[in-house]
Amino acid sequence: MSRPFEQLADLDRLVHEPARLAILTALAACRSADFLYLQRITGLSKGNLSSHLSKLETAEMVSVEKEFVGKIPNTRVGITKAGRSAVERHWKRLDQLRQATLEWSPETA
Amino acid sequence: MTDDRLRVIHDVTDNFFFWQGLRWIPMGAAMIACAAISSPRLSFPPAQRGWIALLSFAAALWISTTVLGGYYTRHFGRVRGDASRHSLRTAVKWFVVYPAICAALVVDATFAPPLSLSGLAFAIALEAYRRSTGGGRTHYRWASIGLVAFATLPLLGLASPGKAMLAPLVGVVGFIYIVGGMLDHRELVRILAPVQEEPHVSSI
Repeated sequence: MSRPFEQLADLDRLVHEPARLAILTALAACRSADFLYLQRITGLSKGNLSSHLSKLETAEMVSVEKEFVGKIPNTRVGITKAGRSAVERHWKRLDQLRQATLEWSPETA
Repeated sequence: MTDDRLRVIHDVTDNFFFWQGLRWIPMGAAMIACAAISSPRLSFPPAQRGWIALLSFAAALWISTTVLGGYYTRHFGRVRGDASRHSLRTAVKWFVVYPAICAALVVDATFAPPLSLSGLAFAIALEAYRRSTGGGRTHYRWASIGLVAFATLPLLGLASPGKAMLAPLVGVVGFIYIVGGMLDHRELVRILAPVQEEPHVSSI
């Protein structure tokens, strides 16, 4: 396999998974968002979103806080420094890969 | 998940407050009310006008923040914005846009130029607002074009220049708040997916 395509296979799968990338992209744009907002902006079901957040929390990319707003339970999610670096690094990598694949040709491989 | 969708996710989250369009409607109604009571056809004494304006804006603020803010939190969730991401936008708003609009209003009221500078100032401010709060929402582009057209009415001999244009301008801006707000809300509903229910597993 040539370089750009090898590098595609090396992408961080924890970040690159579409649902998690959507979650991290949303969280990178704010201080925190609650569970309902993340559900609506990503279109994920409750179970699916919980599962992805759990994976991201285990990897210390997001922090999850459960609190009460009045008597209603509320889950607030924020991106950690590590998570922000990971998603920014990932976007940079994708841009570089996009450029490399545009410049790639069988002759230069 | 396309690049465009991810960009929308980022931009809407970054500017979530500004996309909650229903919040602008009460403010628009208050502006139209103020424009109406300034009309010479409705002979409100100046002192009464002040009180009506104050009460209108106070009511609009309460409805916008408490009632409609609560609605958006319950149905769309809550985002805590990162103010540090928008320090330039805030600075431009307070030190360039608002002073420019005030200056334009004073110039229009004092010198009655053939072109409504206030109308032009609002048009530019509206386009700057659209771009700096997540883009999209082409209805604001059309509204800016409409404001530029409005600004040329004295030049075309279709309206008296100066003070006579100010109350109608406030009414037009109020109308933009209302229609723009409704269209913003429609756009937000289109972007945010409905809450997915978990599939019911039958016990049979």
